[in-house]
Amino acid sequence: MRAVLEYWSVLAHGLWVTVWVSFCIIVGSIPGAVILGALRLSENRAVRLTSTIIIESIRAPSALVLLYWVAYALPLVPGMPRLSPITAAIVVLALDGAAYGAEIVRAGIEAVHRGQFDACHALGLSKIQGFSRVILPQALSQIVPGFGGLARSMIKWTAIVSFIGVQDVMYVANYIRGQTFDTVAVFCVLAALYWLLTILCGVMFRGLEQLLPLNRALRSSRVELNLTSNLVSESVQ
Amino acid sequence: MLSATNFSQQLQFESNAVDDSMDEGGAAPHAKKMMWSIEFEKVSKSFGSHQVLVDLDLQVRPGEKVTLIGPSGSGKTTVLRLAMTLAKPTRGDIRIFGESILFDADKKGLSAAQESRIRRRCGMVFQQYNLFPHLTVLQNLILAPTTVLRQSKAQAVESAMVYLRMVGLQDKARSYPAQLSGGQQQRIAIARALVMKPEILLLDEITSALDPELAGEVLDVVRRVAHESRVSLLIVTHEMRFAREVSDRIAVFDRGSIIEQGVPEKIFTQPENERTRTFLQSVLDH
Ligand SMILES: Nc1ncnc2c1ncn2[C@@H]1O[C@H](COP(=O)(O)OP(=O)(O)OP(=O)(O)O)[C@@H](O)[C@H]1O
Ligand SMILES: [Mg+2]
Repeated sequence: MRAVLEYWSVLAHGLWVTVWVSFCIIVGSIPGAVILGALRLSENRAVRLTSTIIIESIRAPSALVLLYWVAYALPLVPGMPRLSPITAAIVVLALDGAAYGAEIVRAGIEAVHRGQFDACHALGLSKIQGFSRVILPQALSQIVPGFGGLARSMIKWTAIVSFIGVQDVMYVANYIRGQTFDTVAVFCVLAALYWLLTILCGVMFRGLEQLLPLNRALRSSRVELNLTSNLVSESVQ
Repeated sequence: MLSATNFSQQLQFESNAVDDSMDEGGAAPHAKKMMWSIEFEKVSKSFGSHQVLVDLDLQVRPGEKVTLIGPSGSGKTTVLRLAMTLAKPTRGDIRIFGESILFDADKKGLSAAQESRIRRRCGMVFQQYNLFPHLTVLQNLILAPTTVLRQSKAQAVESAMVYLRMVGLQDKARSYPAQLSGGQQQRIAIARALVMKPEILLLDEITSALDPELAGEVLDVVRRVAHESRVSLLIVTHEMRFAREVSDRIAVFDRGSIIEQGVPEKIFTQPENERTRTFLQSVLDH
């Protein structure tokens, strides 16, 4: 164990890469997830079909195959760029996150009461105005918890970036194991680090939930309802 | 409970709006005879193989208060939803102040912008209120004026407060919908529709989710809108006493068409159609 801890600075660097990749792919997957999820519910069949095809073709191959493809096969296609390993990793995992996130977004939007769409229309709001000001803010109360779970998975997905040479915590753990031969200690530390990261991520998402407009509205009504019921019980006594 | 101050004055614009539209609409061919605020012409609507409306003709004059009554499932809600462009008819045409909400002059479909301009002249209040739960009462009232009408926030707030006073809920501006009773929520929903200054207001069973005492306060608001403004009202209700009191005309629906219409006095005291009599008996017995 002590031998492993002597490599703490290498480990810290690897951890930092994992955190950075995780942050980029979680944030990077959000716009794609919202757009693909919203398009899945379009009234236009062609649009619906296109987004379904995009989502399915990202999800169908394993993320690792997609990663190898972008890292090694794509540069061989004429006119296509050669991405650095870390860029390739972020692009692939963010796309993968967007494809899974799209289903969470779709389910969140579908959970918003039909009458809310009708009210937007009756007030003259355009589709985009209604979506951004009324539907999405309410859907977020469903989407954010779902996305929190996805984000925790995404942190764990980042381990595969070591396969294309990105020096994340997984990569350096393997390196330290090669140096110290202390396999058990290395993998215990590694597991603890992933555990810590996913816990922190969960805490952050729970904090984020508190800030959502619908949660805030419901919280303040609950507070008021409690106050009135206290007053009622006091006056009864 | 509801203060009458300034109410008629606040609704003044609606009469102006109606007058203006009657002038400018002069170009439309049917305007020469009579400018209807809403006009259904041979409208049919089917859901799959289920035909809900059959060749419906219905006209409402500017400022007229028309109430649709009839058995459950007869198509009353569908009429309002078609007028609000929440659904499209299978056949026929619907015009708002002479302008089709379905086709342009070349009988082609309307662009989103054209449709939105016409749709803006209608407002609708729903049975389930449909307030935006994540916004405060005031935010509910200013959202559409600031985004659709592009009013400044100050302007929108000022006019929202006028309507909140009108429905007697000015002290609830900062509350969220979940903090209000059903009756209060529905009064807010009416205010939210009115801040958009519609020339036609569609009310779909706006009291049927409410206890009788709460329904009363909502109906009071509608009575005042009916008596003091020149907005056209198309009302669906099961409250027969209210219908009788507030309507200029009652249209009785059965199985997707109007079987009888006339002034409330006549419909309630001397209905001609046998099915009208059966229907009235069934609701008045309850
Ligand atoms: N979106 C829809 N899809 C399928 N059928 C529908 C739809 N909307 C309405 N219908 C059917 O159309 C018929 C008329 O419905 P509508 O809601 O207009 O009746 P209504 O007169 O308002 O009844 P109620 O008094 O119960 O509200 C009903 O049989 C209903 O089942
Ligand atoms: Mg109905």
